[in-house]
Amino acid sequence: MLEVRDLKISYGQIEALKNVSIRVDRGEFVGVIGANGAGKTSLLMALSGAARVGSGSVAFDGEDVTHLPQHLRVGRGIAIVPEGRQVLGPLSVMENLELGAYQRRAESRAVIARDQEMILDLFPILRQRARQLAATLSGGEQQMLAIGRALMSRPRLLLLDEPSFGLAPMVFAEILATLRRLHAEGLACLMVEQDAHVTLETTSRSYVFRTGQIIMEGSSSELRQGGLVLVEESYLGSGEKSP
Amino acid sequence: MIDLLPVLLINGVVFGAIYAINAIGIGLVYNTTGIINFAQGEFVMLGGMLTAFLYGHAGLSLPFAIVGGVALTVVIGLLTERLFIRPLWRRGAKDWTYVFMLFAVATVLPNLVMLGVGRDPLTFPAFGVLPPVQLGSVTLSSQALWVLLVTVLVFIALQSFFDRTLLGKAMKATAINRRVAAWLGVAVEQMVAMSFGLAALLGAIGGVVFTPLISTQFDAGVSMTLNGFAAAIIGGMGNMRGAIVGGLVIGILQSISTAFISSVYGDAVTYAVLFALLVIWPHGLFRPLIELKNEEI
Amino acid sequence: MSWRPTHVQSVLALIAIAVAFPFFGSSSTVTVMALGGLYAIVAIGLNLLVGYAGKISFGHNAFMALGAYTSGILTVTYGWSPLAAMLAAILGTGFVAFLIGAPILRVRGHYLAMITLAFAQIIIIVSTRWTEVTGGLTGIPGVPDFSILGFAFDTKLKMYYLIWFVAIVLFLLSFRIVDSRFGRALRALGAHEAAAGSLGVDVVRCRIQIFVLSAVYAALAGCLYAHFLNYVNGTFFDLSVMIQLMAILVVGGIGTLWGPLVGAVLLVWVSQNLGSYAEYSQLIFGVLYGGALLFLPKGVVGEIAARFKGAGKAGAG
Repeated sequence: MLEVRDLKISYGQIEALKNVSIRVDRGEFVGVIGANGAGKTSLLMALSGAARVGSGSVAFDGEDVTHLPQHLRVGRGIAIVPEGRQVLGPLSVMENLELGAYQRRAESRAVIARDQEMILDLFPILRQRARQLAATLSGGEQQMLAIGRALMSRPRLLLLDEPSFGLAPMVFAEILATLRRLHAEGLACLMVEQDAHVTLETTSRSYVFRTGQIIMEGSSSELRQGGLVLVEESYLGSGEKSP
Repeated sequence: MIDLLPVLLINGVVFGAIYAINAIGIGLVYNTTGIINFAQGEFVMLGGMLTAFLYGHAGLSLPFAIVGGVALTVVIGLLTERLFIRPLWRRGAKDWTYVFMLFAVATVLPNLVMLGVGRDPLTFPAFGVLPPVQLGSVTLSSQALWVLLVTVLVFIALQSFFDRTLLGKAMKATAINRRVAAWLGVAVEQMVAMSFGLAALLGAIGGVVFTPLISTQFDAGVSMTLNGFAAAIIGGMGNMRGAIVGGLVIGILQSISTAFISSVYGDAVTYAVLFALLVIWPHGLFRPLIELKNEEI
Repeated sequence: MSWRPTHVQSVLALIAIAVAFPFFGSSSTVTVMALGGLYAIVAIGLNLLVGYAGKISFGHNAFMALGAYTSGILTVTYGWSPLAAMLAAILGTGFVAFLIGAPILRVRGHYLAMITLAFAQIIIIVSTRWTEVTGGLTGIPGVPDFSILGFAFDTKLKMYYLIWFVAIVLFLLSFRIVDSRFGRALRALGAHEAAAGSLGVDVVRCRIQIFVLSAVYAALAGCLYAHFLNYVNGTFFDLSVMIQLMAILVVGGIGTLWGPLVGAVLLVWVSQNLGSYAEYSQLIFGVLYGGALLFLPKGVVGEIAARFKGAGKAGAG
C-alpha cells in the first residue's frame, strides 16, 4: 500500500535521509526505531508532505504522492498523529475531533457526529472532557485526542510520530492497546518510536534507522530475539535497558 | 469643561467602533498568516470612497452604491492577496518582504484614488431610517447610531462564524497551528486569501458606515491603519472582545486629546500611546487569542 | 578571488563619473543628482539596518527631519556655524535614536515597522505644527549655505560635490563595516537573532549600534538637505520620502553594498524623467518597488551578482 523508494531529504547541507526504502502493506503495523536525529521524523515529514523531497518516490496505493501538497494527503487516506501531539489548544475536544473530519465535510453532520461518538467510546476519558479546551488535557489525554482526531478522517494509513513521548509507561501502554485493537480491525499503522522494546513487541515488522539510513529491517520478533542487543548497540537512545 | 465630557465620550465611542473593526481585521490577518496588514486602513478608505463615487458620480442609489462599494473593496482585498501576497508566500519570502509589499500596496491604492477622483474629501448622505437618540444632555445622531449598530452586528456575525461554522473553525485552526491545519486537510492558502477578504470586508463596512459622519479622502488610510493597530495591540491580536475595548480606549483617548490639547495633535497622541504600549507590553494588554508560534513550514 | 581588480576599477569608475557628471548635465540635472546623493546617504545606512541586521524601519524620514531641523534652528535662530550645527544635529539625532532604539528593537519585525512608522508620523506632525520652534507649515527659511572653516559651499554645484563626496566615503566605509567583526555580527543578527546570541554576539548592543548608525546617516543627509535648499520644512520629510527610500533599497538590492547607490541613481533618473507626470511619482515608485519585490527580489545589483556567480565560476563548497 505504501511504497517508499530511495528517498533522499536534505535540509541545506545536512542529509537527513539517504536512500531510504520502506513499505507498509495493507493492514500492517510497522515500526521505525532509532536514536534522535536518525531521520525517523524526517521520514514522517516526507510522508505527510511537510518536508521537501530531494529525490526518490513515495507511492500510496499505486499513486505517486511524493510532491502532493500537505492538505491533500489526508484525502488520500494518510493521517498523521504529530510529534508532541499538537492538539488545537484553544479549541474543545469535540471541535478538535470535528476538524479531524474536515476533509469529509461534504458528508452529513449526522455521520460525522456518529464518528465522534465512536472516538469517545474508544477513549472514554475524552467523553468526560468533551467540552473542555484541548489545552487543559493531560499529556496522555492529548495523545488520545490526537489519535482520535486523526482517526476522524477514516484513514487507511495512520502515521504516528513518537507517541510515547512524555507519557508515563502505563498511560502509553493503554494507548498502545487501543492502537492494537484498531490494527486488528484493519488499520495500517506506521509508528516511529524511540522506545525500541515496546515497538518491537507491538509491530509485526520494523526498520532500524541510524543517521538517515536503514541499518536493519525485518520481522519484529526476529529483531527482538536475535538482534535486540545489536539494535541497542546501534544507537544510544534506549535509556532504560542498558545495564 | 466637565460638561463636555459626555459628548467627548460618545464621540470617542463612535470613533472607537471603527478602530475596533479595523483591529479585528488586522488581528484576523495576523493570526492566520503572521502578516501585519498595512493596507487595512486603505480598505476603510476604499469602502467610503468607492461608495461615494458610485453614489455621486455614477448616480447609483445609496443602497446599491453601498453594496457596490463594499463588494469592490473586497475584490480589491482578494486581488491584493492573490497578486502580491500569494507569490511571496509560495516562495517562502522573509518577514520584511511582506511588510514592504503591503506598504507598497498602501501607497499605490491611495495614489490611484487620488489620480482618479482628486484630493478633495468625498461623502454621501447619512442612511436615515434610524432616529437620533437622546442620552441625557447628548444627542447621538442617526448615523452615529448606525455605526454602533453595525459594529455590534459585525461582532456577533464574526463570533458566530468562528464559533459555529466549520469554515470559521478551520480558520481558527490555521491561526493556531498552520501545519496541523494542513494535515487536517485545510487548504492554508485559501485561508490566507479568506483572511484578506474578510479584512477588506470589515474595513469597507467600517468605511461605509463612517463616511457620512466625517467624509473621507484619499489619504485617510494611514491613520486608520495605525489607530486600528493600536487598538489591536491594546486588546491583543485576534482577540475580538479585546479589539472592542482597544478601539474604545483609542477612540476616547483621541476624542479627549483633540478637545483638550489640540485638534491637530490628536493623531500624534494616539501614535505616542501606541509607541509607549509596544515598548512596555509588546504583546498587548490582553492575552492574544493565539500565542503566536515562531515555527514556519 | 579574481574580483579584486574589477572592484577597484568599479569604484574608480564611480568616482570618475561622479566628478565628471556636472560637465555633461544641465544645472537642473546636477540638482537632481545632488538630491540623489542625499538619498544614497540615507539608503546606505538603512541598507545596513534592514539588509544586514534584518531590522525594518519605516521611520528614517523622521531622523532626516530631526537632522535638518536641528541644523536649521541652530544656524538660523542661534547663529551657530554650519559645521558645529551639523555635529550637534548628528549627535542629537543619534542620541534620540539611542533612546528610542533600546526599547523598540526588542519588538518583532512587523511590529517594529509599525512602531517606527508611528514614531515618524509623530515627528512629522509635531514638526509641522509646532510653529514656535519649527515654524510650523512655513518651516525655517534662510538657512545659510554650508561652510567649513570659512570655505562656503554657496553654489548648487559645490554642494553636489560635497554631497557625493560624503556619499562615496560612506559607501566605501560600508565595505569596511561589512567585513569587520561588527559586520559579521550584523549578518548573524539578520540571519537568526536567537542563534546569534548563542554565538556570542551581544545582540542588544549590536542592534542599537546599527540603528543609531543608520539614524546618524539619515540625520547627516537631512542637514545637507537643509543647507542645499537653504530651507527646512517638515513636509519634505513625510511618508513619500520613506516610499522613495524603500524603492531605492528594493530596486537597488537590499543587503548588497552597491544596491543603495545604484538604486538612488536609478530612481533619481526616473523622477527626473517624469516631467509632467510628477503627480504620478509616488504611484510609480510604489509600483516599481512592489514589482521589484515580486520579480526582482534581489534588486538590480543582486540579480547581476547572481548572474555573474552562475556564469561559469566554480562553485565554492
